[in-house]
Amino acid sequence: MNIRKPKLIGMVIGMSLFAMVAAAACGGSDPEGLDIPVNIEAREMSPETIKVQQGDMVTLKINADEGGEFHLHTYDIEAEIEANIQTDFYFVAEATGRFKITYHPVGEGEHDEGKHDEDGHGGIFKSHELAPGATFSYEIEHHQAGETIPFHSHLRPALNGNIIVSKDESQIDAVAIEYTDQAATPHEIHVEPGTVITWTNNSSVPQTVISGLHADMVMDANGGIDKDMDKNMGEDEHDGEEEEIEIGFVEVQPR
Amino acid sequence: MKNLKIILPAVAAAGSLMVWPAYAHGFGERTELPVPLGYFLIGAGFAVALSFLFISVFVKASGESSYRRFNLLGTRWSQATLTSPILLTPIKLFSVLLLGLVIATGYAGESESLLNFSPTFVWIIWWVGMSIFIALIGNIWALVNPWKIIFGWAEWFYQIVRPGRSLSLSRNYPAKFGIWPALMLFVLYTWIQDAYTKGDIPSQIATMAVVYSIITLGGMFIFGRYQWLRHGEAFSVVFGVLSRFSVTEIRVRSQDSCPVCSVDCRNLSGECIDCYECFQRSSDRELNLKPFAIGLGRNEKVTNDILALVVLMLATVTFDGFSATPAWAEFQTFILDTFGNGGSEVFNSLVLADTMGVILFPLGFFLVYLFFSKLMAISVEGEVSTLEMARIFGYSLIPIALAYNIAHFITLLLIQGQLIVPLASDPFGSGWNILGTVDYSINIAIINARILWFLSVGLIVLGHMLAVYLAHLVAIRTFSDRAMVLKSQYPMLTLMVVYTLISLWILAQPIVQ
Repeated sequence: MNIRKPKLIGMVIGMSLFAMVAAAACGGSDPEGLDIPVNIEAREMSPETIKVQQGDMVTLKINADEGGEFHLHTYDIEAEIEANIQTDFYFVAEATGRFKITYHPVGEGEHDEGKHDEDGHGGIFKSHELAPGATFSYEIEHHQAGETIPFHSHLRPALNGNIIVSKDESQIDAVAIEYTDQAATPHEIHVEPGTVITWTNNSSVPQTVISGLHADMVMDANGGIDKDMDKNMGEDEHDGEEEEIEIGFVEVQPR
Repeated sequence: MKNLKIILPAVAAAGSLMVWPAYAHGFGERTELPVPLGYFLIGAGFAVALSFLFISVFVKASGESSYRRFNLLGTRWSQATLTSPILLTPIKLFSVLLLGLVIATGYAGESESLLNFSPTFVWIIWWVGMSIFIALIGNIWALVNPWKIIFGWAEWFYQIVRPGRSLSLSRNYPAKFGIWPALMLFVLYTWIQDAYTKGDIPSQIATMAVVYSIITLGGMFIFGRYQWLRHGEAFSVVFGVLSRFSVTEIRVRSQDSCPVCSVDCRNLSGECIDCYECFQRSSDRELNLKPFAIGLGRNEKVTNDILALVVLMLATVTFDGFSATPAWAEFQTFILDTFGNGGSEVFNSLVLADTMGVILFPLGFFLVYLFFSKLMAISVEGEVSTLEMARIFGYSLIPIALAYNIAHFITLLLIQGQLIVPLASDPFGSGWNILGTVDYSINIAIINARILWFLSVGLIVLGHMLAVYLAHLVAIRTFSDRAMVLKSQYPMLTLMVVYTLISLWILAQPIVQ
């Protein structure tokens, strides 16, 4: 059976041509920092598809006519947007693909309880964006004795942990937490009032340090599972109380 | 899957913003980029050009259907290892355990789909992952099918308790039913996958597993284990077709045991291939490595029920992709506009639209295929009837569907499939950490879009070539002279180019749901 020769020829031609095309398409431009204005009006986003290239450091400058939660799926980054106030939404476009954006408008007086009180999201400490290598410090105050303070990086919620503040004084006065690309280590630290905690961003991309649980973890803080989609999936169980609307996509093209 | 989506322009323009659950392919979120125009055109060009190259080169090919094989059971050592109960029994136990776990987590676990083992396992690991494994490597389902295993154990136990009697009623399976029962069950499964809105809910998955278990064990009880597996167990039948493409086959060399078999499984060349019943009973058996796709070109009689299954599989694969394109979203919007958005949560206009897709796509495929079969029949001056043309060439279209299927699902498998790592540690979503993997976070950059495009288009062109080759093989075997072989192949080539282009076109569409 003389299948071999032509099949081989076909495959060789095919592979070589594809390789050429692939190589040609790899016009090597460098990743850049991008500011992209995004408007959400009448529950529609413009532009509807945000196009960036792999590696770009993207800041979406979001303006919405209605407050709500802006959620970039799969990257699993979420931000609370207040009506008519420009909000920066930062992410590094590491993964190529087409990712859904949903918006969950939050009506008047409908804010999730606990989220904006003192112990909640960002209520205790909140860093600016930390470039790789940068650090952020916070000193535990005396009234926090006996509390557990969760923290995370808003730009990558997988980086999170707990600060457990003991009541009794001992002699620990400084503790270091390291952000890597995978996790915050140590995940849990025991400190006492007066301890200075220093976070060092040793991951490859900018991060933040913010107290409280990431919005996705509020329901179940065991982490691990990518929870960005369960809000939609679990719609029935919540019986329509959440109205999450698909408003557009981010397309990350390979570079 | 039940992502929320808005039905775009028409409805939004009317001022009412609607939120609809959408669900292509059961469960999971798609993230792949559309294949760029350049890749599409090159892929299309290659499909056409290679087809003609092929035709001009292969005129001399012979119709001989033998091929090189390597028997993995050839040595005493390998036979002892590969058939050893020490190896196989734990695998079987594990498989039955997994079925139990799907049912248990479905009913008792967390109701959020992503925090529960069953949706990710059933829709992504088992259905997508195992289909691809079977199509490429071999029919592992014949080994791990939990219902087959359970019934086998029950029969063995019954033999001990009541020696000399058989657990099954062993009613004669009416030959005219063919594989229609399996086909009907597979249509239902397809509908659940592509149109039913609740297919991702753990408790629903558990119920489906229970109902299907009852049907399958009941079928085995009435007609006998192998009779039902061959005709009524949808997945054995479907995976059986897929595994023909794979690099392995089982074969019984001396056919002394075949008459004991409940069905005469020998093909027109007198070979007994992929008959698991004979394989189990025979001592003179082979587990062969073989070239890809060659199992789709066997010399055997293809009946109408098998033709229907093949067409259904071809159409289903395409519809699963097509239902995520903007074109289909427009159709859904049209149906919504026509019938209103009323209806219950399960039976609403959106489900109606997708149900129409699940039914109309196979019918449309069948009509188109019949049309091309008719052209083939005309081109050979009626030497072979239209329907017979359709039957004998059906299998040869499978490689295109399979290549498209892999291109279509690979991202889902590689990204969402990772969910199984944390879920394995905490199947019920109750805070366990059995394997210590619960904190695993998904690597969403695991496959680069450029590699994916290359792979997708490359696979489809390769699938197309294999399809052309298989059709050619069948033609040579069927027609008396070379001129007819060639003439018959022009309509078939056209059809294959069209099918390949449609597959590529879908990959070039942005996914909207």
